[in-house]
Amino acid sequence: MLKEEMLWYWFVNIPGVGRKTQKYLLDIYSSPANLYQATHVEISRYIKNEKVLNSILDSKDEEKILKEYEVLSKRNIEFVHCNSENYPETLKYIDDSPLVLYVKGKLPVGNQKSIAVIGSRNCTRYGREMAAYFGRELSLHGFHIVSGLAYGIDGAAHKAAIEAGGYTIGVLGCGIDWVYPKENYDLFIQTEKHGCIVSEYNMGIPPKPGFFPERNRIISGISDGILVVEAKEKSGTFITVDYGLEQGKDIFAIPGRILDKNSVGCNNLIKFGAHVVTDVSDILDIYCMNVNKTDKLVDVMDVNHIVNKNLLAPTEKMVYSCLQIEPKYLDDIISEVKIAPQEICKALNQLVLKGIIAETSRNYYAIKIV
Amino acid sequence: MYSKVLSGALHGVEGRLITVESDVSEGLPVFNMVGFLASEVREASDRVRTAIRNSGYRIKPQRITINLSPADLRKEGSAFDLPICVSLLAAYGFIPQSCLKDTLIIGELSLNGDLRPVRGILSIVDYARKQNVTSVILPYENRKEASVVPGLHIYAAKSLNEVVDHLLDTAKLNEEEYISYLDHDFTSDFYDFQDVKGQKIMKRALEIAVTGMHNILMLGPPGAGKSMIAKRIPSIMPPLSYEESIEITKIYSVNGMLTPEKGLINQRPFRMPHHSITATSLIGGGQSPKPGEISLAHNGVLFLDEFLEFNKNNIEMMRQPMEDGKITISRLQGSYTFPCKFMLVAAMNPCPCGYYPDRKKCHCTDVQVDRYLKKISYPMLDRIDMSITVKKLEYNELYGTNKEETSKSIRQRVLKAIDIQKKRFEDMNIFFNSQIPDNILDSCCMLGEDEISLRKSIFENYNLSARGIHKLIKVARTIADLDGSERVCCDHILEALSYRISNIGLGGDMKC
Repeated sequence: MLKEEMLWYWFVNIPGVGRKTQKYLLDIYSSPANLYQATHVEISRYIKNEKVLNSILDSKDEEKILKEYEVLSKRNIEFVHCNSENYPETLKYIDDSPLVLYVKGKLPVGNQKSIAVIGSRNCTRYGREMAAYFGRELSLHGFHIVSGLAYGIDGAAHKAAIEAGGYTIGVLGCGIDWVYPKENYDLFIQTEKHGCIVSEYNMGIPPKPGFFPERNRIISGISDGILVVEAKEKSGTFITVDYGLEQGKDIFAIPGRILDKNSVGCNNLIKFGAHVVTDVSDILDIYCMNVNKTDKLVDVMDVNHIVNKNLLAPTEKMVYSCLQIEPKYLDDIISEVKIAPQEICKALNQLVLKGIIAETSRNYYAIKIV
Repeated sequence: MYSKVLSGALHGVEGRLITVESDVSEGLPVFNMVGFLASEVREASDRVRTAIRNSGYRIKPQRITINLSPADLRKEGSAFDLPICVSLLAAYGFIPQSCLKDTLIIGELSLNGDLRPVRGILSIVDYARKQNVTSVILPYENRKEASVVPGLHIYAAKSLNEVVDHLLDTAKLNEEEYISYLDHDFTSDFYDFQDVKGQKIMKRALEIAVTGMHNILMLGPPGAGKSMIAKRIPSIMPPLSYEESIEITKIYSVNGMLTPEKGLINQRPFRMPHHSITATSLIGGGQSPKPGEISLAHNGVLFLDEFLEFNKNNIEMMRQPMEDGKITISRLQGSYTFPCKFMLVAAMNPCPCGYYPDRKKCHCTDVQVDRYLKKISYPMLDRIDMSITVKKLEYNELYGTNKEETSKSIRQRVLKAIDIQKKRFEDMNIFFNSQIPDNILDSCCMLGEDEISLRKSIFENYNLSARGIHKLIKVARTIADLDGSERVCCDHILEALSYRISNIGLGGDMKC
């Protein structure tokens, strides 16, 4: 007799039986065990489609199911179904909650709050730095950071949380063993170590465009609040926000400049009632927590602040003052700060080595927030 | 009757002596040419007979046999017309054999007896000198080229008649004067750094690159001025020395690229091959091997624009010649060695659309940019010592009224620093900082405590390989030379960081 987990595993992996059919069958049979024991004749009363019917019957191969399930544990993938003890509490009560989750790493325990940090993949440096800043600060205050392990905002938030020693959850729009995008391979490894990776999809299933809106409901479902860092007017982040609104989550948005197309989405969210976030205290206040740090974000970049914190040479100070959060080209800095190119190169590279500024791409320099 | 005449042929960039023999005897009239000849040499028979008749010499139709020896060396080109002609006339008795002793004769004939210029004269005449030839008769338009070879009597003729009269002592030709200097006219330098507005960092980087002969890669959007400034690099390079010029002139002469009236080439070459170039044209070769672009850029600049569009194999093939400074091409007939010491300047776009990191214009995703920049093969990146990003100029920079520095002024600094390198490498077989082998790097660039801890900090913060750090130090050494400083200081290393070469990722050669 197969155990409950394996029956669930069998149930969600029957070829040809999608989520809709699964829901339909569960309404009738209330558990995979009952369906497993039902006869051909019984099932045929509810499933009229020949192909689907045969598929269900053919898949009842106990040996095969056991073998496949074993592979999961060999690969350190935890299989969690909706009746499991460690199924995330927050996900239980959302509409269309996932029946199963494949998990790498450790699911969160305890009552810590989670914040989803999301935004566009093709973001500006401002977005990236903000994602990293809030990722770090929220982690330092004990929040779990949830995101999609994608390029841009997601990756920056995960990375900052990990580096701050926090806990992060990555929700995938592909099979649990599939690294997408492959350039984020290192991030995947780190996330598994410092948190967990969850997916609704079994091993070997490649990413499909349709999966991503679906998985967004899990991102919003598993979190308490959603922070939209940077989004264009039409952005996939709104799918997550819509789910979040349905699920009753708090929506936070970081404003951007009016003329910046990359921030139009966030600014619109604010118009429609999202909480404006200009510092981490704006989020902590909602959850009645205290801020335990002294630097205000708006001051972090100020040149006098930097000079007070680090010993900067006069040329370094001059050079730093003309830098911004968006990268600036070396030659432009040379024409603005009217000293010899050699001196400017020296000052810039000194500042980079001191960790005060970053060289975002060859000969382009910008201020570092995180 | 029998006669023989000395002539010359090319083997790669070097000359070879050829003997042209003629035999005239009784028998059915025939004109037979032997000696492993290419078709253009065989055609000489018609040209020779017509030129002889039109120059006023009457020869009886007889059994004529011409042999070009050595018989196993393939003969090509049209330079044998004149020696065949003279040999034939001698065999017919018009010219005594004694007049032809130790005289090299070479040239192409027109049907009316006029002499036409040929390629490779400098190489051939230079070789002849080493083979105890005492005088040379060649076409008038090749005289400047040959005049740089000492120790020979050079006679330039315009027609067959002049040659015969000279040989018979009836009307001696004027001997060409030996030219022992290089006529360098800087005012004729067409391209000047002054023409480029702004772009201070690019100019500074090129000044350093030229001083230490560091190969450099320029990253930038189309229209940033990469080709424009690359063309002007020769103008800040030190003036050609006499020996360097002879090397270059030989190569160009062999390729038939010398302007007839010009003697030695007096400007450093600038070659800009299109990226669709074939391997043979780039490296050299062909059935009868000729120098390729890398040799045509010898002692000058080879500019490869749209670096990524070049065939990867072709770029790979350049590695060995760049390391050795010469390319050896092997064929059945033998090995041909061409010199190819050049400064490589490569240019490319930073992303598929070309405008990264300008967010307003660039529509490439981060991934696309990263993949694009990684297309440069690692071994090729290895051959490049510096890299710099270039940006398009704004309107006010382009039409600004600032006075830009002239090439002459920049060149003065370059020359001073090159002198320092010359003294440093006096007893060694190298001339520039870029060539310092790793094992004497530390002794050439003694680093103090501060510098060593800086180097450690760089190693920890940047994704540079050991090679990358060595190159960084060499560039710092050049910067120190330009600064007139004997020691390499932290300042120099810090500046060199801006020009580093690494696995160019998305500025992602930072470790964080």
